[in-house]
Amino acid sequence: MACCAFAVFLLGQIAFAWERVRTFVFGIRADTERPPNLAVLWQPGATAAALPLSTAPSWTHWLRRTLTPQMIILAVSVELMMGAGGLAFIAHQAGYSAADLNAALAMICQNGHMAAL
Amino acid sequence: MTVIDHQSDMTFARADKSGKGPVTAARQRRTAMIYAAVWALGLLPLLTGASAGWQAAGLGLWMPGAGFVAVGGWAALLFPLTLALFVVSLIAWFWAGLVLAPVTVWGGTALIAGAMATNGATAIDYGVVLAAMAGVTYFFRNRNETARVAGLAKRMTRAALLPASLAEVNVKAAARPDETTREIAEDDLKSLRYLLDRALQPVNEFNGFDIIDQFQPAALRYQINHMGFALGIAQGAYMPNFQGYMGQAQRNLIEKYLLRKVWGYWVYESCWGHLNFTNFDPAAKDNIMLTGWFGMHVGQYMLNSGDRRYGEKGSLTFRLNDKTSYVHDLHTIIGSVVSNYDRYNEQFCLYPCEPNWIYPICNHYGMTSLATHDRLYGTTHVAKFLPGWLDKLDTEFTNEAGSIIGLRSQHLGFEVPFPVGEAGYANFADCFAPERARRLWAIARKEIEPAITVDADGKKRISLPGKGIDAGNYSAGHTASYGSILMGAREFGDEEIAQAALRSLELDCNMTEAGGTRRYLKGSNLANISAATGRLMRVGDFRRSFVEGPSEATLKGPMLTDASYPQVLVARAYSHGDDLELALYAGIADGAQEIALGQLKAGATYAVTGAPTPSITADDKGTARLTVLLSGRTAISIRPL
Repeated sequence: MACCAFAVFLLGQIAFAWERVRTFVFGIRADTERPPNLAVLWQPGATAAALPLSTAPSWTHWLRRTLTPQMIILAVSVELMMGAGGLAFIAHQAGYSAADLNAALAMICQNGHMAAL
Repeated sequence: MTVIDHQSDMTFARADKSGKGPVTAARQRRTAMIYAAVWALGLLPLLTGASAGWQAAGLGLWMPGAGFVAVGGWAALLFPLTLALFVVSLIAWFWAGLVLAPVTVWGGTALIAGAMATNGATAIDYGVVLAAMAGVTYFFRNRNETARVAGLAKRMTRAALLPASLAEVNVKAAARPDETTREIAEDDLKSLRYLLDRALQPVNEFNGFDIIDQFQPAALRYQINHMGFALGIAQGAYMPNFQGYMGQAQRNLIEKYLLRKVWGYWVYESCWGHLNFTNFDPAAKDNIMLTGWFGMHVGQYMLNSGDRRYGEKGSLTFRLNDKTSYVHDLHTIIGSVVSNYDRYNEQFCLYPCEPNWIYPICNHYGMTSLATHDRLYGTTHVAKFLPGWLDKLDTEFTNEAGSIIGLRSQHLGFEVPFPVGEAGYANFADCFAPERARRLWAIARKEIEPAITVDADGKKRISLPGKGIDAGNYSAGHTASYGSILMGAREFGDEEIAQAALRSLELDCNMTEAGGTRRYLKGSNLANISAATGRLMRVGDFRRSFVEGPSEATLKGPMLTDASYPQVLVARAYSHGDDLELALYAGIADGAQEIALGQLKAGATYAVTGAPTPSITADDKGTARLTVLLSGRTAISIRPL
């Protein structure tokens, strides 16, 4: 109905793909049943206690659901791979060999140790 | 208002088979030429033997991120990553008019690749990029051709079923209810209360609204507009002679709309879409998603209530801050639509919402707003623009199947493929091109019919495939679709489909009734508004509320000017000119309530039936107060003696 239905279309595709990947990796979640829309539940005189959650989608709720141990391990692994790749690329571009890189890192560590003394 | 109907030959798609109109074709040619020039520019470093950096940057102009292929090594992985980022930037462009996003991603990554490159691009690098370009081109051409063939086949099917379906629609749509006897059913008052509860809260509060983002369909402005539409329909159809809280609710929504929280998105879109950092007037260039919708909303309120306050200068002022305001009224809001149609007349005629993106559906709102203004003030905007507008709609915005496309890029000319149902357009078209509207619904109903099934209780219902999607909060669910179908079915008198949609709403959408209010907990606020609107509507009500309105005699007759909410629920308030007929219900508990009357003849005495007092006498201002005893449906009649 709204003019910008294409956004929903695009988001729907992304959400669909994401849900498929998520389900493939982590299986079906127990809490997939959609909770009632609390905005719709509102009526005059309703207090915050009567409506315990925000009426907008809760990002903290999303984070709690998403930051599972498996997801954290996956994210850290990806970060490490990207970091290692980045370092290798920089070393390659700067013309250093792996040995040069190790020496540079050792020197940095040594300087840091001396500064601490 | 002048109603012009285009294409009376019952076709619904242009004859041209190329898949694009002349303006679209010209824009696409321009886009192709610009791309060809950029491609040639990208080739120059290779031809001139420029440095490795220039060669990588040049390759980066061929495709977003392609320069990283020339950089080589791990950096080549940035090519697909950039392509993904480019898709995201296109979404940002579409989502909020962020025109700089794709340009920045494409151009920026070309520069970065240039800075990173140490070795010149090889033949393999160019080959990889050319292969990727060929793959993308093949994918889109193949998809477009498949869609074109399927569209032509669908058009043939539609053409075959249209005449019989249209004949049925013409009969059903003609059966409009008698406006002099209409009354909201007690059960439907629960849906009206859903709307009133939200509209009657203080103007700066948004309890009961979905608040997610202010750019796309879940934005507050759309919820406000459609809530106003629903109340305007109820006002015109059932209670044109009730001001009181019904008028207050509609004015509250209009005032809410003027808060920066609602229209402030345009400040951002002006900056990053129009590169305009000084004038954020929301009713100037583009932004038909505001002017068209709000113009309809305000005009409908004025038409059905007789209240003309929003025609006064400054009555619709958008305040940016303490120093800057954009002073408007209904005439200037409509003036923005008019000036944009003038500006874009030689191009697409239809004009953008967000910078660059032209949505035919929002332009339907825009044309309806002109029709409402014509009805209110005797202007001739529709007569001036509609013929060219329809011509462009048919030639530039209609696909092979005969469906109106979802949206088209103003600058690049390409269509974003998205299936848009005919039902969504039909109600709006009914306001300015009723024959066309009936054709749209005649198609829609035939394509809804296969989804009608029988449930365990033997009642008809609609069973839509998949999880559905609710544009009002970007969640899964069919509430919005059922609501939309219900509105279309009611407008054109398809009661069987309407009842099936109501049944599906009841079964699938977690319907609850509490506090005298009906709501669907699986739907967004916007979806609930659609469902409530559909419940209140009967044949022709959408059109009636935007381009017809109550008669002059009715609006000049006695008015119910005050009643307590929710203690007194009004199901009917109608005057034939001198009298007033009311149907009231108790919203909380039966008992005595005082109501106020206005627009009586000063000093005149009126006979009262249905209340303890047999007669009332108006004061010198033409007002009077009356105590009523509410018990179930309470009918009250006031007639001059």
